[in-house]
Amino acid sequence: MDLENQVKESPLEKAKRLKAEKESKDQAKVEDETKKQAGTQANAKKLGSFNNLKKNLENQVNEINSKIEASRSEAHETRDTMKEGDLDKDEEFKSEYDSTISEVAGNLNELRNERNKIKVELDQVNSNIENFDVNEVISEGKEAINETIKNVEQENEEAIIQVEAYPGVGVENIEVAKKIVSETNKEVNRAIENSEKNISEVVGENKETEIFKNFNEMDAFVKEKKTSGDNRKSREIALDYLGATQEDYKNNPEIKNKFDKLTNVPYYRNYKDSDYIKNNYGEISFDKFSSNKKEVIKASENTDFINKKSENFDKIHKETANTFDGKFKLDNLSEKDIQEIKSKVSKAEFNGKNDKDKLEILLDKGIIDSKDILSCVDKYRAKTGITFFDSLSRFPDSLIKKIDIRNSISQEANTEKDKPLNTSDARMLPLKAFNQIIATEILYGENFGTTKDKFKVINDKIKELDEKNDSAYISSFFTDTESMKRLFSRPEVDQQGLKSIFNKFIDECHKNDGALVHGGLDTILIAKKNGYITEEEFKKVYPEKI
Amino acid sequence: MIKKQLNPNKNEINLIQNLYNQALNDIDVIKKRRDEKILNILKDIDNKHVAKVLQDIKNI
Repeated sequence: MDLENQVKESPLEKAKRLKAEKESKDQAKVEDETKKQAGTQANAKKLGSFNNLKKNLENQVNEINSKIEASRSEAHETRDTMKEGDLDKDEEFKSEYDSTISEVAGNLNELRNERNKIKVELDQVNSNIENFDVNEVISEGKEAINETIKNVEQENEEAIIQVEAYPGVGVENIEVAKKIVSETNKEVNRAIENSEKNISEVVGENKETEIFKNFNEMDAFVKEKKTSGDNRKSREIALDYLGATQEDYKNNPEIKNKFDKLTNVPYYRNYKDSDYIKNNYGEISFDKFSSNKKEVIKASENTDFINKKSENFDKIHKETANTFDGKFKLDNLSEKDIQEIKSKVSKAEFNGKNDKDKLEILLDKGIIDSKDILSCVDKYRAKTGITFFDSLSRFPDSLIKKIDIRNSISQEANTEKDKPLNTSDARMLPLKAFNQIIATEILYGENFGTTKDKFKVINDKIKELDEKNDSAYISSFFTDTESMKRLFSRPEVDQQGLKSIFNKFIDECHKNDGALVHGGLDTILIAKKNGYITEEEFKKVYPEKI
Repeated sequence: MIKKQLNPNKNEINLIQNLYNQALNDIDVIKKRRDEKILNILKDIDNKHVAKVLQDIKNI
């Protein structure tokens, strides 16, 4: 619109302008209709390609299911054949038996992993198909809004230019025009925000209400059946609520999607308030949760894990720091104390905990160099012949270890603190520090040093880890490779229990391709090198590295 | 024609379309209000200019 001309136009000019405007609008309508038709065709094509992809992925899943079934049968047959010949009990054939079992198990796992990858892709395609119409309407709506915003911005600029170029314009007129344009922008933004809020309510809450209602009904249905003596599995009864059977679930994708979606409701309720969700999604909609379920649950659990471990780490680190800085201040040490401890270092003579605490402070403050301590340790060992596991010779080692740990923690914190953390980093940073502390406490800690049965401490810990079966916690036991070497080298350590938790650690590395387990590869490489695990166990975790 | 496997929620789609249309209409109203205000500025400039010319004529 030419505002300047409009001010001065005659009735005839106005009539001509309105006529032109009408023609232009009619033309736009025709173009809009053509565009809509093209859009409908494009949508049909897009949906068609989604359906084709879905069919293709379903075929792949079916194919791989058959392969898994065949591989499982073969694995069972292989095992049974070897057991029939008692190969598993014969010392001569035992290792062959183990390696063959590992090989077939590895093959099966590879197929299962492959299937999981395809299923994740299939879930995404199903979600795209299910929400196709809604997604398209939203996409079109957003496009229209964006186009309108562009127009408004362009018109705003033109309006200012027109006012600035208008004959007789004053500075105050330009200021008013700019204020009007700025106010227009704010109003447009408010209108868009309002519309987005309303749309997200429609997309999210309405759907959530409906799905929650369905889930509650299904839940009540199952409970009622169970209390009235229905002996079927809850899953079967839940499918019954949908008028379907397990066979339908397997063969009918629509039923499968519907049922899977309903079963996501309790997960959603459990996880929607987790710290991870709040920080990354705010108030997450059920649909968004469902489409990202695996990632969200895993990340939520990792975040909870980090928080829990961070709390522990903070506690332990604080206690350690107190030992360093709070308990014995350097100020409390007299010059005599300092000279005395320096002399003891040079002669490799130590007496009890008091010396150790003083030495810690001197080392920490840089009055005594850690090299002096190491040299002292060598002298002490040469003099006494005491092995590493003896509590007396351990204490200088422990000291150096603690200093190194503290330095490495603070160095890492300084290096990493300004970098953006991804999930893996965020999990690993506190865990790494925590692992070092835990490993140190186990092998160098005060309790270990003073207890009469030193291996009981380790064996109790192994038992606890084995029973807990917390793979991440178990991994913390092995990420200190030096500790691991010592554990595997001692006959006093419960080797069977150690092997059991180490296998769980391997499984964890295997599940996460080693990526989420800090030091997983190093630990396993060292374990392999030292013969703590077999070649097959190693291949199971890192087949691609062979 | 491709047959959709799942029934789309027509009400939901209509509701979303209506909300977007409503937003576009709101923006249209805002634009008209802006144009009107800008027009008033131009009219004001004209009026002041005319008044000044008249004043100049009177003063001659």
